[in-house]
Amino acid sequence: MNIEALIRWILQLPVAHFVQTHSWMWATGEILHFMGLAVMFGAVVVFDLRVLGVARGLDLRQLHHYLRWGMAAFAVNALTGAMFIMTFPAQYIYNAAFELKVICLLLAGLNLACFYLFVWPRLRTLGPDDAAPAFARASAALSLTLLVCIACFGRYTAFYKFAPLGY
Amino acid sequence: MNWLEWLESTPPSTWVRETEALLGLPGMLFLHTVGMGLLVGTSLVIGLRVMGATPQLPLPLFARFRPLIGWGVIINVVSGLALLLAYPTKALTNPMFYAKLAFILIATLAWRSVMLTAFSGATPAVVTARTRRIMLLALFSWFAAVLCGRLLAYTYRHLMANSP
Repeated sequence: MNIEALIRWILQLPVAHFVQTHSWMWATGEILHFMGLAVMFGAVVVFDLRVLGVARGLDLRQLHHYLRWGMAAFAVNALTGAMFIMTFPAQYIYNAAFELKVICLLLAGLNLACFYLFVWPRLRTLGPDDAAPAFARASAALSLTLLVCIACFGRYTAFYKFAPLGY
Repeated sequence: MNWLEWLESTPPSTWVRETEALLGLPGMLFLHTVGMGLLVGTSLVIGLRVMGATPQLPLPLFARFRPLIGWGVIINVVSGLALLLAYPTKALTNPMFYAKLAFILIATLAWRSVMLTAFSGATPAVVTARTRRIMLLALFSWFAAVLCGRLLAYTYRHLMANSP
């Protein structure tokens, strides 16, 4: 299937027509996408900074509670993000900033998989005052960097041509 | 020529609005987004702890994350002023902009009130039901400010002073 056929196929799905004819859907999606971003920032930044050594004394297993808020926010952002792409597929598929965002998202997913496979089993054995090992700190630093990159490329995505329903 | 039209014609305003540089309008919007994430996100985590989440974690240690909120404020005041400078008419003729400022004011006052009681240095910190309610108001207001900010892109009536 070539790209044009893919775009035509996405556009004939009911989502594109519905969102294009109900502009409040787009605005609501954007509002939820930004609120989700804020929740993710809070959860990820606090947890990663603790791994990096800030606020030692906070038990990581307890702090992990806030990552669940981040996961819920990610689910909201994945759904609203899918809605944006299905509404204006060409705007995203032919978009260098969006391609960079997808690469960062894939790297973040890979980093998260590594985190739960290798880093977390080690971190959860630590006491509240223990320093995290170097590989855990590297994973946290990568996670923070990718988070900012995802927000950055997401914001620049809107500036690659048509955003008929506002940027 | 009214003062908004004059402001829009000044070189700094024109630069933010029209430059092709990455630090122009998209750069300011990116900084505003990151600042929002730091400010609202960190406030949410500290707020949830104050309201009773993860009670085993010592509350005073959460004060270590408060500088993130300060950085968020600095980034967003600077980027927000740049965005206002680029399109003053767009913001100042939209009631939503004043609603956003009102929510930021409420959130700031409520937040400060909680910080003075929950992080007063007294050990153990006393978090009363009233403190929790004020924190809920602060968090609600932060998210309401995000809502209004996002709606600015859809509800403006005049983009620039000389536009219809």
